[in-house]
Amino acid sequence: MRPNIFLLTIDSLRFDKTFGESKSSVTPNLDSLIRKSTCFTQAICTADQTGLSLGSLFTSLYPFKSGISYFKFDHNVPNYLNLLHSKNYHLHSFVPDLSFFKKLTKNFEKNEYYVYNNRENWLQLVGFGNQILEKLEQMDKPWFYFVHLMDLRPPYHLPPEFDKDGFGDTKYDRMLSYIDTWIGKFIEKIDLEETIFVLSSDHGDYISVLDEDLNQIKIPKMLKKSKKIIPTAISDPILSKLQRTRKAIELRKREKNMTQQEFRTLQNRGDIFLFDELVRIPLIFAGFGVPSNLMIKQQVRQVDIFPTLCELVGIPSDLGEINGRSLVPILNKKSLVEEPAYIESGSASATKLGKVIGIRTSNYKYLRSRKDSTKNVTLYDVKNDPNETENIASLNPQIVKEMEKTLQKITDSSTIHDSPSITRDESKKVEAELRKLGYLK
Amino acid sequence: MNKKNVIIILIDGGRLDRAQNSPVFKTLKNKSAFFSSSITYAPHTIAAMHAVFSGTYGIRTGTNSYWSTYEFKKDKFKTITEYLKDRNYHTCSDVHSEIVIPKQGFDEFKIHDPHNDDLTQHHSELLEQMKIKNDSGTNFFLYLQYSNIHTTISDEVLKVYDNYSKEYFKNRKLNEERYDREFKKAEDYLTNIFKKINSLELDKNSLVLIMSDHGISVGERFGERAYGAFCYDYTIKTFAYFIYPGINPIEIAQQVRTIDFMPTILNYLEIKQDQSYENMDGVSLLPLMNGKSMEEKIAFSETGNPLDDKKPPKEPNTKSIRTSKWKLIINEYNNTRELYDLENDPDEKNNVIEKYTDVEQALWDKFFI
Repeated sequence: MRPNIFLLTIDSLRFDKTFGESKSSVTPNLDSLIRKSTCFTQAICTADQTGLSLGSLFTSLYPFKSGISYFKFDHNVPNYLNLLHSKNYHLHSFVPDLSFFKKLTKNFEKNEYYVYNNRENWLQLVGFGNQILEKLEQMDKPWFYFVHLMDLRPPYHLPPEFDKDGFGDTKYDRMLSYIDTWIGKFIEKIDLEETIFVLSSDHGDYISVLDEDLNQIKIPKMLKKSKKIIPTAISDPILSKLQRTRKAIELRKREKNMTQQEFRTLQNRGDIFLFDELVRIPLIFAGFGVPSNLMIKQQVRQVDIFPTLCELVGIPSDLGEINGRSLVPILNKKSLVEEPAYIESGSASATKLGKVIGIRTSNYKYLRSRKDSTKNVTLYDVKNDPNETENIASLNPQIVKEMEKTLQKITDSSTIHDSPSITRDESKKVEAELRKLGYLK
Repeated sequence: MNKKNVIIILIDGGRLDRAQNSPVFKTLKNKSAFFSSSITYAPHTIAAMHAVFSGTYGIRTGTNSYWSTYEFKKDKFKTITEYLKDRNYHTCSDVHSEIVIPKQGFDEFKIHDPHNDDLTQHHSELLEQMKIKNDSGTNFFLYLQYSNIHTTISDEVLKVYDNYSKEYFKNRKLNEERYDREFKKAEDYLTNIFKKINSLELDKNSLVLIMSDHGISVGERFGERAYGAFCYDYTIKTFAYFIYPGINPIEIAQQVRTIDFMPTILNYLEIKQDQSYENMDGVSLLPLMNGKSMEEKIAFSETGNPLDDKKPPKEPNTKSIRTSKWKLIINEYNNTRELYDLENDPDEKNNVIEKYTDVEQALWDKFFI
């Protein structure tokens, strides 16, 4: 019998808040899990947005190859969920009821969707945690259980007993302390002899130093009312532009009284930066076939997770060409040459791609505008400047050139899964016909 | 098998409200099973008609956008044309573009010149040709697309304005007049085509379906100058008239889906579903046409709002789930939802998403993805 797989992803969980000096949460269960596990301390996710990062997790492909984003999950692109299903795994999930997750889990045996827009009723209040515990006892073996929690996203609905100094410096940290109590309960229910437990996240996040959320600026009543008359397709862009403008004003006001590092915490994901707080994620493997008490400092990638899992459970990872690779040799203390990690920023629009792309190695992080390699160029020496405070791009044109070459090499391979069944002639014909019919400008 | 010919006449872009007020369509109603609440899968021809031809939502067939004609999964979904071709029907279509319907199974796939061809004359000639085939003992399937409404809207609206052109939305009266002028021509076309069908006595041995694939805006909502951007009723609620020998005229106000038409035709012709293909999403409406009751099914629609882009997106980003009482719209491009109480607010003016969270949840649970 193959081992079960429990994949727990906690939305926006940062590596530095899970382990190490800047962690202020109280997480006895997580700490104990880390001691029992192989913990990767330099795991890099693909993007700072859920759809892009989870898309690359489940396909081991970068977004430019899979075409998967928050707005599109295409099951025609080979993915590990369908592979596990074909190998007789029973697939179950506990995920938010957002379109992306519904599409992702379409072929699962059983899904429990919690209501995304009902934040106060998540994990802590109505026994959703108990639902997960019950599930862990009920599934037919071998099972694959995917749980994606979103409690670490503001606004936080913290149980009052955890909203205290002793549980962390920020609401984020305190919420993590609370989630830890549930992680402990989950671990109690899992037989790690016959289960692999993977704990990770989709991406990191900025954790604001302010108590107030600048993204939640009050909208004037009059505009709120207009939402009911004007279609949301029109009113929402207007409102979000207004919010952005107001936030920009607020930011300018505060910038003078803050350090650069503090000011950075007020930014939003999906912009022109991909600091480590956004892309460095926790990655913990525990249980069946996984060495315990092993700390791996080498850089690895989100796209490596499923090839590793497949090797651990004894399934050939035969999805065709993938970007990731199995990390099992590292678990067995053999060396693997580090691979550069491709990273990109997300976009909130279905019709637009994120602003920047780049690569991260254990030495440098290089970013530039998606459309123009000479714009928004940033280079950080992540080894000697781990907080990424100084953009050294202009001082190091040679490194920039090398990094750009590596980026080109990764992205140059043409999109392999974009409309696989359509020939170039057919695409041209469709475009010509749509133009004739008046649908293209 | 009930060996009747099949004629489908598509009034591309025909609005339900105009049909309901038209004397020509009233004549049709008096001799047909008239479905006055037919919900299309997509408010644009390509995805809408692929769904009709396969009896299945584009989310399963692969044709779910303007771009995906060639992504139709031919090996998994059998079209009405192929069913009839298998039964030795002569199959013929006349359309305005080769990407608007699935081609497979057609013996003749004709494309008219929407600017220069006289569709009344052209389609009358095709009917005559079919009559000759029929007289020699061959049944036929004829699909006729009346595309002139589209052509005018394309020339005078699609190519002139964008979805946010204030000038277009300021001139509601002009938009209505333009549409009504074109609808009147469609009525004349139908009158003449029916004269032809009757004079050739094809009404005695054919099932005729007159339908629309989607409505067209006359400026109801800022952000949609024609169709394909939103999922509001003025584009997704369409009409259908089924006529066959011996029919008892009936109006069916219950919500049905245009994906139900193909299984209805197969049922009427006593053709069973080919088990070597995937099941259809649609169901036969024959019981309703025979005056029996059927449970109302949920209708799913989707489209790709181009927003401020110059072309429609390759994947749908605007989706709706509809019952006769409620409609939930999901705008995936900005993560918003709209809920309308269709019984009390048929024009969908008042978004009550915050008021009826239980209804929202019930519909969302049934959401088809």
